[in-house]
Amino acid sequence: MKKRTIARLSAFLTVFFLAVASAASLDFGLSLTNDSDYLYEGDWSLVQANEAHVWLAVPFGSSNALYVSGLYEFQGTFNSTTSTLVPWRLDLGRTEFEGLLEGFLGSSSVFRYSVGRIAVEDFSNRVMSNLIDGFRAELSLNNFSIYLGAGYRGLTYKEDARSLIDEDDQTAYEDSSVYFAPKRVMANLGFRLNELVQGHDFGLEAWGQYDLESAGKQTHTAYVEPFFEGRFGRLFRWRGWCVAEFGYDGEFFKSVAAGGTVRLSIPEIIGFRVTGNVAWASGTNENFRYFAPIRQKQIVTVAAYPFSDILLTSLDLSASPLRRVTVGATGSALFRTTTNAPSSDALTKATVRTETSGYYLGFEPTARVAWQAAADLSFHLSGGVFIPNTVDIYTTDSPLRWKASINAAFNL
Amino acid sequence: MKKTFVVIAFIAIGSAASVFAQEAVFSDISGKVEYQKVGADWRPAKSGVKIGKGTIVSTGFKSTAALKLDDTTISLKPLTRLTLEALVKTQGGTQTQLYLLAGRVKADVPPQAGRTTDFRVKSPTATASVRGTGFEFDGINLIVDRGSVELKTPTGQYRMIAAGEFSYIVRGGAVALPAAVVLESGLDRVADLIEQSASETLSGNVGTPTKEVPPAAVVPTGTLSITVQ
Amino acid sequence: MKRYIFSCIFSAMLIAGTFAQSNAFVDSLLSEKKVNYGQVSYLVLVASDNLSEDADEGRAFELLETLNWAPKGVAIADSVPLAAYARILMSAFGMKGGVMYTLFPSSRYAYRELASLQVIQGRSDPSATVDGVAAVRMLGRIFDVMGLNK
Repeated sequence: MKKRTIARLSAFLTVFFLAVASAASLDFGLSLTNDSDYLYEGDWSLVQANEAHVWLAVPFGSSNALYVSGLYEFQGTFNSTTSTLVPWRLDLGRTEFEGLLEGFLGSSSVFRYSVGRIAVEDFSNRVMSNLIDGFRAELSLNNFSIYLGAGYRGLTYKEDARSLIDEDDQTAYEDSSVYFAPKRVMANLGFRLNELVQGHDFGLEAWGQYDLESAGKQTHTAYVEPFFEGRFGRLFRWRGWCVAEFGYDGEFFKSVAAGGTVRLSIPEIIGFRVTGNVAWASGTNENFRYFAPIRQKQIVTVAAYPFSDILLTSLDLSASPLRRVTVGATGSALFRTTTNAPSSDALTKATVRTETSGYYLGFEPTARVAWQAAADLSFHLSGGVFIPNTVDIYTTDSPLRWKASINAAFNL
Repeated sequence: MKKTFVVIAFIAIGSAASVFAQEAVFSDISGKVEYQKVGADWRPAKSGVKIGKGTIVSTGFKSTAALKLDDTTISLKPLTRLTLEALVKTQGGTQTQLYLLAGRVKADVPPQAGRTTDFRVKSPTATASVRGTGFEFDGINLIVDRGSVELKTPTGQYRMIAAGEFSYIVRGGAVALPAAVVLESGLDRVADLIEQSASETLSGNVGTPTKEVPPAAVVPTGTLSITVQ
Repeated sequence: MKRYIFSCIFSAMLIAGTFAQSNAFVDSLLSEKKVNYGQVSYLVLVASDNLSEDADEGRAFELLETLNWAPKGVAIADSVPLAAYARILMSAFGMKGGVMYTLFPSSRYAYRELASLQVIQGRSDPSATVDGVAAVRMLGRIFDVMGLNK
């Protein structure tokens, strides 16, 4: 572990100093963040994470640039019985050489590219949103753009990568001696048509990942994701997407997911917004398997339900009563889509009934306040509770799960 | 033959007579405002002064001016340098073309029933043309008061910006998704408008905090062109 | 009477001269691909009411140096990097920045501050030299941010 860390640190410092030495002009900075999460579910626990993120930006000519970043992280998990400390973790952050070329294929074209440890995400943000080691390229012609990318995930930290597609991934994730994410390569291809219909964009993305792990079961998956996004009238915005997942792990399987969001904005009334959100991912039944995205994410704030065998409906209200201050509240109702047991990771102290009925899992109200105190200093305070369904799904002694978070970010 | 010639001549004279140059009139002058006619020196502007094609208008620090052109009002903000490149009136409508070298203009171009209005504002990086609308534009940021405006980049990407919406050219050269904003301050608070616009973006996780990522390397654009139609 | 007429004519010529001077200055500035410290000093110090419009670029640059708003060791004819121009603007208009600018009022943090306020907008390089159009545009944005246009 230590040798690996020194190797990573050396690689980062080498790139850093090469960039410094070769650059006639550069910008650099340091971001400090604090994340404190206090949880209470029958018993308390505190997760404290602090991160120092150093970055360097070097322009090369008028259209290209090198961005290098690295991070130091401290994390501690404390509860009434134990405490776990990871006093330091060093890693390479987003590091890319990026640029653009105007007039690549005629005057109405722009070619953008990025190579290195780059951030990628799909339209819905439910299939993939993370750093990969690879490349991304996009060609825009008038209002049409086509893009593709590919990369390797096996060198990213497993907690960031959250690759939980099959049981092998789950085992590796829970093994504290494993640091890196499972060895998978991924690729994507997509296109987008802006203003195809007035005020609306349409597009299609295809994502795929290939399992390179030699031990255990290999699971390969592909995702096809049509989407649209637009606005009707001045005040309404909406977007919709669906994903068809196809996989092979010795036998073929399929799963689906879909979602949509509608927002009403009334900027004249303290920036008031109402947002309705629906997201659904299939569970395992006679037709489908559980939806397994490339990167699994928690679907709500307090309960740790993954985006699989789940239906989320939420309503969010937000406003800006003062300049640089935003307040908001969200109410989320969660349902399972099959009669399979809900994810055991979602609630640590809740017990699932031996015989369950119904689909309603629980309700989660949350509230938040965000304050941009200065251009380089921001605070975010949020809290909420998950109220499990103790009638049909969980036992009556399953406690509520409370969470309060304080986040601060300071840029030097 | 002679009759045909006379008829053709009358038609030609008639057509020529239906196209004539327009003049704009200064109104609501505040602070130091000057104008320079073609081949002449700079002169201080006064309300009621008429200017024509080729005239350059300049506003100083904390100075504003308004130009009236029939029903159209063009408001010049401080530190603006504007050239009247074309002011033409025909039987079918009006054609106005302005060149904005620096600063900001606000145009109120009411639609004219039965007549076409071709109103364009060009800048080193943009061309804005509207037909019956009110908008404010500074070459990168656009806010529309009435009607709708097409905001277009030189590479052909465009979006329609409707009344009460704001859009701008983002760092990568694309047109930002329009956002409903408060029109009261116009483009005075661009940072607030961009923040509102960015927070309008619907993403996967509504209501959850996103970790702030330090800015990527930013490089000069070279020539960035925006066409607003 | 003759003296009165003469002084009226002289005053008119002086005013006309002043107008011509300010417009000639802005004309030349807008055509510059790389503005220099002399031009920037005059533009910003006059705009911020720190200097009379009658002064020249030499006097303006001297004042900029005296006020310590120019980077050390620069000459009047040197081209101005974007970050340095950002600091001159923030200093001349008495702008308060974020935490880091308040602690270390350097050109680096001035650039960051003006980028966050969208005075500097779009892709930009803090070390790139400023052209005349950008210099005037940024000054106009400062007026908007400071509410000086009302």
